[in-house]
Amino acid sequence: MLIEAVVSNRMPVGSALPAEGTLADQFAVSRSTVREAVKLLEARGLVEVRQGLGTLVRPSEEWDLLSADVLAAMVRHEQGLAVLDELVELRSSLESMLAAKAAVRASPQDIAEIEDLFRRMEATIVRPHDFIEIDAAFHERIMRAAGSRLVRSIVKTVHDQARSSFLYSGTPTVESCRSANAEHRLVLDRLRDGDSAGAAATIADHITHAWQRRRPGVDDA
Amino acid sequence: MSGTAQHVIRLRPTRRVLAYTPAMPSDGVPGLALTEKRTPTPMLGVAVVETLVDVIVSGGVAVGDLLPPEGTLSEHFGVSRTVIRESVKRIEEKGLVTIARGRGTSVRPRREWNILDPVVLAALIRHDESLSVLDELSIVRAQLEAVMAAEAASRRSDAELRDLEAHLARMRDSLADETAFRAADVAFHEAVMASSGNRLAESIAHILFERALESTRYHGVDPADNFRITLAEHEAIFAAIASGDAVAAQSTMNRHIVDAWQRRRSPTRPATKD
Repeated sequence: MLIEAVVSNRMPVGSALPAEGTLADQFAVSRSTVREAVKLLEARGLVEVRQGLGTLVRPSEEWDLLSADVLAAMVRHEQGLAVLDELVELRSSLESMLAAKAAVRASPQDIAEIEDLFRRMEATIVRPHDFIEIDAAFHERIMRAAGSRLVRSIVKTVHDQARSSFLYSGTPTVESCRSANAEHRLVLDRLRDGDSAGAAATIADHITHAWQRRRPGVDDA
Repeated sequence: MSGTAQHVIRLRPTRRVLAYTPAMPSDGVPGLALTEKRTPTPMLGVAVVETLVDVIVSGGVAVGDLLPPEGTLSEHFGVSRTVIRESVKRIEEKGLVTIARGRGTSVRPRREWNILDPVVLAALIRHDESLSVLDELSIVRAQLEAVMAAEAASRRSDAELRDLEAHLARMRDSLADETAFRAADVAFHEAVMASSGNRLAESIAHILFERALESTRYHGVDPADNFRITLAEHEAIFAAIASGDAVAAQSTMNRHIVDAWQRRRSPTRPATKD
């Protein structure tokens, strides 16, 4: 609840949180619960305890937006979809960068394993929930062929957090899986040809289109 | 450059210094040698966490290996088992270890570490002898800031543009003043990110940038004409944002971050092909 209050800007940047006792009364919890909650907010970069000044709300670029609880709070707040749109863009941007690298660096072994995952997805289109697991492995296998451990770690963190949000994941259907795999085929072809720009473009398109297909409230601007 | 990595922790409030050298053998605590032997002094949980992160990231305890048992750690750091338990929990949250009841706490594979955790990232950079971490970090920064520059070109307000111009002007005026120039440079980047409206990209780029700035390796060595070139690159970025040219903003920002790092980067180490 405190996370939401900060994230939704009900408590402006630079302002001090009310005293422990006040918060305890407000939320009808014990002081020690409040203390734990404030510690968590501190760990998430939302607030900072300053001697003599109290517990102050930090500017938004210091918030740990990738942690599950902060992200969930942002999604619940009206800006929900904007955050997910940003997540998708981030994923798309970083994954396409890695796909470009993978296109030049991939060994025959890498390509073979990526192909194998593609074929398994082809065979699993009728079981959407199984499909999406292989889909994640497909993306990861492409990134592994690129090297760049640090970048991969970041993409993994971003994607894992996104997937934990129901608004992001939605419910897969046979239709959506079929469309996704058609797009996967294009990526695979570019990788086979060693086409960096093509691999980057096809994967960016895929990630963006897949999100647009399942994005809730497609009718609002 | 010397071979051993030294990590020094300041202890508050006693201000005594505890130093360790990961490479040195110790009495039964691999990777956690204390070069100064004495009666254990109480350490804050934070310092324990930082030391553990450092030991793991530097390879003092290898991936797959177990951390020393709770009791041993408790004695070494001079803190209660409760503090040790909490500290280990903290590093589990950072993706560094897996706590298995009865079997002990083992170090997880590198790809599972939470790179965006400030303490983990700081340790990675600190031990980045080959500069591969900073190379990759620059590439990610470049990519993210380029996307944000494009967004800034499309959506920046007049006030934000004036703000950006002010930072640019300060850069122009302080070519001879290293500190002032660098500060204006950083401020320019942060202003672009803020005007993009992309909180997530800003958050990640900010984390990466902040940690990098703390490292002397990242500051590197400025070649003679560096500031002038950097300024020229910033002028190009500004021009693109001012004219609303998202494509140009993206490519100029991307080029700038990658090239600026290459210029400063310690020349004795070959750039990582990775």
